Amino acid sequence: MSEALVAHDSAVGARPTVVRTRRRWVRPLVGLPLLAALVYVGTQTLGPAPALGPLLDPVHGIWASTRGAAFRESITTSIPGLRGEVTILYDRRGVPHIFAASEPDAYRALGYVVARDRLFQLELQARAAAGTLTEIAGAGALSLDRNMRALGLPRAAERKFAAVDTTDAGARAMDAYTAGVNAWIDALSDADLPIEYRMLGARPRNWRPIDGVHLLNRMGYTLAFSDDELRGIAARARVGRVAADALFPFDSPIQEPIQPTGRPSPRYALRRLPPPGTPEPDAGIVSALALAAAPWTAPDDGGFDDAVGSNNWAVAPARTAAGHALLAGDPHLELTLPSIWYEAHLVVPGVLDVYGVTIPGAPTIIIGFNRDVAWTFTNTQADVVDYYAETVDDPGAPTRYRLDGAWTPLELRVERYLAPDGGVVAVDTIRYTHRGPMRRAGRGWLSMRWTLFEPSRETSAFVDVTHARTVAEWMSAMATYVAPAQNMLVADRAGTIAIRSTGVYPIRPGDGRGDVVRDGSRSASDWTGWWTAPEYPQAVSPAQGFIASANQQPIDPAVNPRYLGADWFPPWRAMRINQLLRADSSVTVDAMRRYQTDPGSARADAFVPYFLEVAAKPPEGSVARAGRLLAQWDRRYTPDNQRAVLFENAMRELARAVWDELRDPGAPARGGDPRPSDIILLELLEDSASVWWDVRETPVVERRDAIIRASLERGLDTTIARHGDPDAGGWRWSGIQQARVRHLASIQGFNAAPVAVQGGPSTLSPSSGQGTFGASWRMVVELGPEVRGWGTYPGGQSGNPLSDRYSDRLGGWARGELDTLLVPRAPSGLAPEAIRARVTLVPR
Amino acid sequence: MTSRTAWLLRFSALLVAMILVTVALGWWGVPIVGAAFAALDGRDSTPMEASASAASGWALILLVTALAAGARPVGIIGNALGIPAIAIPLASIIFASLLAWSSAAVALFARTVVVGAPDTRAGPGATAR
Repeated sequence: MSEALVAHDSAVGARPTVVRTRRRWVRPLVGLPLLAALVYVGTQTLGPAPALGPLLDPVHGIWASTRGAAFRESITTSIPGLRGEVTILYDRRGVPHIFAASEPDAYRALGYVVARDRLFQLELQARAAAGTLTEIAGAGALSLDRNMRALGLPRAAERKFAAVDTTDAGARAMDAYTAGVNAWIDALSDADLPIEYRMLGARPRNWRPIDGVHLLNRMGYTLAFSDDELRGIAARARVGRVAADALFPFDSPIQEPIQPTGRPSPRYALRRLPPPGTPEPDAGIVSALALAAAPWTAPDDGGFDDAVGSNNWAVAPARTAAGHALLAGDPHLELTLPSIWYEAHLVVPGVLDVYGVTIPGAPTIIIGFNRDVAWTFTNTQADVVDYYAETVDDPGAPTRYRLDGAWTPLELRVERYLAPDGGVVAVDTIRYTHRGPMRRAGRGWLSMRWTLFEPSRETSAFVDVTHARTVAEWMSAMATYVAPAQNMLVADRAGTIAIRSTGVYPIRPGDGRGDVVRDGSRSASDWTGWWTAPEYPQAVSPAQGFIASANQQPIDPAVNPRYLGADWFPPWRAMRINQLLRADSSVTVDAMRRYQTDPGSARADAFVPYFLEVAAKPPEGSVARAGRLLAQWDRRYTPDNQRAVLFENAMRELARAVWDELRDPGAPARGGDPRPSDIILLELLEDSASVWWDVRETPVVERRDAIIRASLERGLDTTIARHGDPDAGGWRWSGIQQARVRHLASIQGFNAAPVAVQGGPSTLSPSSGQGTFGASWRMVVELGPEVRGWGTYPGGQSGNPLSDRYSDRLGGWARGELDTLLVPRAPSGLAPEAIRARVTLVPR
Repeated sequence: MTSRTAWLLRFSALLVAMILVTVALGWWGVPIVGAAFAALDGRDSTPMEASASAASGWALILLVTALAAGARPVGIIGNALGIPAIAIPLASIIFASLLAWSSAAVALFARTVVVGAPDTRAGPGATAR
């Protein structure tokens, strides 16, 4: 025993020795289990919580993301496969301008910069489409994965990828892009690991070329999976086929088509609605199954059609102030952080010079412009999904289906869903007929055919069009495009403007309709071919001097009655933009920008007069007050407007009262109910004695004016109850309707705060319901001697929530502002003060 | 050299070791250094010293990170995890502290079993050997 210990002991007596002895045993007794527990929670995930060690580590853990958020001003790095040096200049808006000596190098660099800014998004979106989210997020994502696999999307991607011509431009671009993404992943530092991976306790997986196919499939699912025909089928279960066909018609009662007719428009073809008929019970089973697979659920306080809607329009030089063609586009999608789009500029001298937005995972610009041509898209809404009632050998576990009198084996595909640790979460067997995946529908089985399952080369088409010099070249490069069908708007420097609803459209047997469930036991029910490109709805430099699309029916059935679909958005936005463009024969760039967030509403113009007319009739009462308040409205959804909310509540009450036949007696209105569009309501307003006005639960027989009156009164009551007195400030539109931009993986803390926007249901920049949809990218391009562009999107270039580039554009987007897009031809074309950072990639 | 100076030097060296090993190996380095320190030093106070140095080392790293990045990221991370912003740095420091203490305690006991009773000299007030 040492001197010190002896001295200590003799000074304090025997007690400390006892304490020490006790401590000597207590410490390991506490320390060992504590250490074991800490190592366990440090290395193992506990439920949804990640392992604590890698998370809390101050150097490599979640804190490292703060270092990754800083934008390093200068980096030189080598990546494998590069042919020459690539210079990447980030401008002040965080847009990478990629200057490469060859196209593959440009695509490789694009993969690198996209991975740098959007790595988690890249993997999450590809996994969502491939149905492998459980492998990163655990069993909580199982229902999403099951839906994707039951729809047959992963199988379709595998088959498409297997059929890819590896010498094709798209395949080569994707290979180079993949190498760029993986160069970033392979050299990933702790600081650059996206924070979401840390929270999940995961590491990024290498990118594969097939992921690009998954991604395009995902876009097809989002844009081309139509459920409106299913709502029509659901309506048959309530009111019979004749009435349901009238409530969900495949021709819009108001025609403002994309392809100009040469006659005055809009053309009104309002019809008298037939009365409710005998229900078709089986229709409900069919629609319930298929609706369960729909990507979007309508908000329960309004129609989905009011909340979503893309626009594009182009103006010929003769109608612009500067004498140059102008093009504008604003695709509307679910608003997420990071945004679905990533902005970039690719330059290969003499070969490629393209600016615009790409989807992370796509190796080229999707919407944008080069030095000669600009292009943008809206969704065509064509019917490209059909259902077939199949006859099977064993309804519980079928292995064969009946086709032309013979039993045909089903393709059985076993789908395994894996956990992050590789364990099996669940196993499904998906059955396929020659048409596509088959799903149980009540006691029967339905198979599905979808153009998205067809072989295609979209990536190549998107790569090819970036080289186009004229509208004609652009259209030619896109002629083989398959899905999702898009209204492709193009303009060039020569002043040509054009649009074509491009994508494959099936030719069906018999009456050609796709909004029916066909007999799967006959091959005669199958598609018999495809429309040819010249048959697609289209227009090239029409006499009217402008072209506009807003997801409306592309071609007037009076011009061509051929069935193309039934899921057209109401033409309110199309009517409004056409009205604005007809009235302006000297359109400026700024006018194009203003139109994108125009607060006017063709829908309000159509309905408000009916409310005012009824409110002016005796007897007076609260309806007269509501009428006076509504009359003060200028029918514009500006942020400071204080009357739009009354109109919206009255419209909601009106729809609830009128369409009671489409829900169970006494049941409240729900988002999943089949609800006809407001256009049908307008048809009904023309027929004041229709039986549809009667509310079944009441003993009296109501007529039109009584329902309008009651709706307006209830609308006022609801508005006052929710928002206070009319002039107390609570009715301000900005406080009622806001845009909500949520994190891609719905991590609450990474959402943006709600922002006020200009626009309401069915305005050109529609905002409705929860406000989770909106303009995902706004762009205006002037095709003068030097192409000029302006644009923005609601978010920022970085996917790192800790970065100042995560949501830096949101404020300007909400105000309807556009940024000037810089398009230098060479690195020297970007002024030093415009450069925020520089990356030099050199061959390894 | 006074005992206080010696203790300060020893503590500083341990603190630097904790920082370096965290940078090099990550969080695993903390129990390794804690255990090694206790096994080599053998004094009764080593678990507390290891704990304090690990907590201080991680606190210093967090402080530097916060100074460079500002307070905003801390708030965002807290929001994302659904906990108060201050909870995460606190949890980090406590985690390091417990890791170092427990590993040192276990190592000290192992040393006792192998070598004999620990040296009971404490920190700054202890008499120099």
